[in-house]
Amino acid sequence: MQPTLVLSLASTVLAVALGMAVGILQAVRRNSLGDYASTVGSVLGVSTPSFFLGLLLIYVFAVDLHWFPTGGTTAGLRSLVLPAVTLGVGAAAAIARFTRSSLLEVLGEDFVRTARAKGVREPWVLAHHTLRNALIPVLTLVGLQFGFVLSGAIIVETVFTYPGLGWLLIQSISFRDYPVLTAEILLFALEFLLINLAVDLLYAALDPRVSYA
Amino acid sequence: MRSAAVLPAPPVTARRPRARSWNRFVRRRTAVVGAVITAVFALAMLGGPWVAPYPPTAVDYNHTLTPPSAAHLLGTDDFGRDILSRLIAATRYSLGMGLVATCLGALLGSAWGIATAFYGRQFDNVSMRIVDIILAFPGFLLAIAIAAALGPGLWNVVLAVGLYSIPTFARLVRGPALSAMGQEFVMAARALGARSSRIMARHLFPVALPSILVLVSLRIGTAILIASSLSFLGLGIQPPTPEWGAMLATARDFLGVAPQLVLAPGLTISVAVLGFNLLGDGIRDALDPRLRD
Repeated sequence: MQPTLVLSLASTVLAVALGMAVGILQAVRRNSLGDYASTVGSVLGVSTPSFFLGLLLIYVFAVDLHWFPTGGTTAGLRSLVLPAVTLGVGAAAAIARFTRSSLLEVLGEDFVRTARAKGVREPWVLAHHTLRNALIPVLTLVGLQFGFVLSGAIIVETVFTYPGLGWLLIQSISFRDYPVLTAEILLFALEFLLINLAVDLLYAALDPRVSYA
Repeated sequence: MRSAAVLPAPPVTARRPRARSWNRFVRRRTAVVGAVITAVFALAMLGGPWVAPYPPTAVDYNHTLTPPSAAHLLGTDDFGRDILSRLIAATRYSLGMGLVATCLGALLGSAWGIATAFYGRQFDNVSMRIVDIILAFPGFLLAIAIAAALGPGLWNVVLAVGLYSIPTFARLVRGPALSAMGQEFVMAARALGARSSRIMARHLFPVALPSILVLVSLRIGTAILIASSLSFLGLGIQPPTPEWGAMLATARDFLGVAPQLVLAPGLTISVAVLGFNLLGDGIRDALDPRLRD
């Protein structure tokens, strides 16, 4: 339970940081070479199966370069890097795509034009007028992606023999251990629901129009 | 008549909607790339046995784990089987499972969505809550649970992936079907004495068809990904049968000795899913009536 949460949290944080940074840069420098390259990158990221990416990373960084261990949790933080990256890339790609389109939409709004017209500097427009508005739909996606990361952890933990919930799930399936299996699936669903609840509550914090009185 | 002569000529873009969709599709280069990739995989699926240089299960113990060569373009695996031939043979299973499963989900899901829009009220309420409950599970977990309950095998994977797509289709189809329910042509059909099944099939289904097509093309990539993930975990197709995910699972053990064993099926999955995703994006943009060119 705990290793899986650590892994999921690490890769979600990674995905949010990477995805939003890339998405914002893409929206600001629209139609540039970088925008085009990162669009291709994010499409590739969505299409690459995590088990293939994981094996690639193991081959390059563990077998070849010996930078990180091939699996397990014995090497502390270093053993978290490869699984977290594997798990986070897909989510990061989705978040980047969504941040880009959401930000572009808000940048086309009238109040942005007004802000620019009255001489507000571009970084301030971005930080105070658009980002907050653009982030609300992105937040929903992050919540959804956290769910995907949780279920993606099943595969990634198997690839890296990482002792978490997902690995236990696969073990219990192959040993036909149905009580454990049932409990596992309920646990996963519970976590997913709790995350959705947290996202709903965060809405109220970000968007003053939403309140749960 | 004079005022009509003054009116500007209708713009060239106002042609038949189908031609306009086609133009919009062709103009997007990524969509065409997706279509080409998809076509190549479709050819490999249909003509596999005639294209592949070796039978997919022919073993050759004198040449195991060989690197790529002229005789074996992608090398051989731990039993000396030709990897390229196995990849081509696997197209039938990997791609076929994705296609059949998505179509199954689309068929049942659309029927559900149309029925819930048609009968409305309590039926609509209850069935949409059921959809909510199913969608509360992360999709992949649901597919794993179904596959674990049914046991491994080709048709069980198809069933697992298909069942998991049903609620998405049901929710998608309900929208357009519901808005069509409020329009005159449905009322007219009923006034003419059409039976419920006829209204659903002839009047509601065509309205929802464009959105169904778009979702099908977007879902096939996901379905292939999930089906091969299940096989990779050992819940899908079992090893002697060639399947991309299962091939990767066996190749794991030889990562240090023969990395091409991992690279070949992995890249194949990525390119196939990429092709279907690009194609799906292109179809969505081409059919979306809100986009103007």
